[in-house]
Amino acid sequence: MRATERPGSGLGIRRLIAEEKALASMFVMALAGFGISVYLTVVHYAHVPLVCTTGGVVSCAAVTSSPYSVVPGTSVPITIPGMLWFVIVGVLATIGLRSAYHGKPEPGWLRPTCALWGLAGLVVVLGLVYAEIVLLHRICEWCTAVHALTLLVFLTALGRLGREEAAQE
Amino acid sequence: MARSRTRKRGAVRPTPVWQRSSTLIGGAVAIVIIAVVAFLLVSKGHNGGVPTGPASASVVKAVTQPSASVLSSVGTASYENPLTPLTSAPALTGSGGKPEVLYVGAEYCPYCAAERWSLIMALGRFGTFSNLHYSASSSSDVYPNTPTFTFHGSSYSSRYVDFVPVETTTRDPNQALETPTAQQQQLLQQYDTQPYTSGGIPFIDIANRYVTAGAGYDPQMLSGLTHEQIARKLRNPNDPLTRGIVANANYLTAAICETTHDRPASVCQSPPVSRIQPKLGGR
Repeated sequence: MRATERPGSGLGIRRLIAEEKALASMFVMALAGFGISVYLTVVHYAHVPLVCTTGGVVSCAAVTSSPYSVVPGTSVPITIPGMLWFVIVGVLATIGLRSAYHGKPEPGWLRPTCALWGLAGLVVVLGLVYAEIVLLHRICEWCTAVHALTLLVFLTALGRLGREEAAQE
Repeated sequence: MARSRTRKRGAVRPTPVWQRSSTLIGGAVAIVIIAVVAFLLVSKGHNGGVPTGPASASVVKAVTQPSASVLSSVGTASYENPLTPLTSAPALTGSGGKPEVLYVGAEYCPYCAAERWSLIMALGRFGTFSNLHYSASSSSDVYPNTPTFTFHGSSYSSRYVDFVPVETTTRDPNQALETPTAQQQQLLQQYDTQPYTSGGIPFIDIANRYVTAGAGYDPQMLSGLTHEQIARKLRNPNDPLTRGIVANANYLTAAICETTHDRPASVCQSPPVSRIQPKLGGR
């Protein structure tokens, strides 16, 4: 029987991470994605070269200096909304982890919200991947890392949603 | 006795397949894979939206015949003089005996892409271009697909200057297009280097009186625009892109005027040009 089923009880950090692997993973992915987004944003404004292998289909410079690297209609780099997206993921994961830590059930809206937020991120990522592959014929390693993290966050959220549906049966 | 309708204690209804985590995750992964494969297939027949073909007359007119008020209003727009005077070089003349403006660049080059807008604007004030074609810089370099023209296949006629363009490669930097002559190579080796320029392309030699290399403004400003959009912007002297193109063109125009003995007067005695000439140095 899980400790969280006892009212008022909480979990130690280690046990929290072990028992809430999905939420902990989402939190770590949010941190990683936020970090990469910050790096890409700094590079965008500082006009310094990216640390990136260049050759063949890989060209970070081509991707990050293209018109598809900014929010359409603005000069805001797409990495800024990306940073905010990962911040929200981190916040959502923290809400779930906090509930588990205090031995309380997580809010009922949390899992569907995580899944929908992940879906929104994935839709944007698919648009950016389209721009890379179809329009630019180039990919950027750092961008691909962020896209992969977004996909993993979505899949993790989807998995939690599926387990919740099963638990309610 | 009525049959009980309550579920027997301990019985578990199996989760529908579509609600299982594995199904949801597997479905999502499959959709992503299908999307990426579709993108790869589509990309094979897609040229990235790069415009090609003859430049429209309206765009060429907008570039070669800008409004006098825009030219005067922009002036140098706080851009630094990009030209280096050559004080002791023998005059460079073309086959027609007129001062020669030599351009060496490449179709893949994004800085050449930006500089061509200003060079066409400047030269348009001394003569007429024909057969200009749309192009864009390489899709795999910085500032990918920067909209521009290509001088390859074009012609230029003027009473005042000879214009000699050399596009060394296509949009693929590994595909040679035009080869500089021995004289042009010598000029590149001699003047497209310190202390005259920082080296590289585009390289412009104005009759061996002035040289410059690189773009006179940030190619990023052209990013994402069509040729028609750029042409429309040239009506607005306050637009940053217009100020970059026109300021750079005004410098080039002033330098060309220095070699044509201020002919034509309508160009060389116009306010922005006459103000810039004393600043060029090398007199």
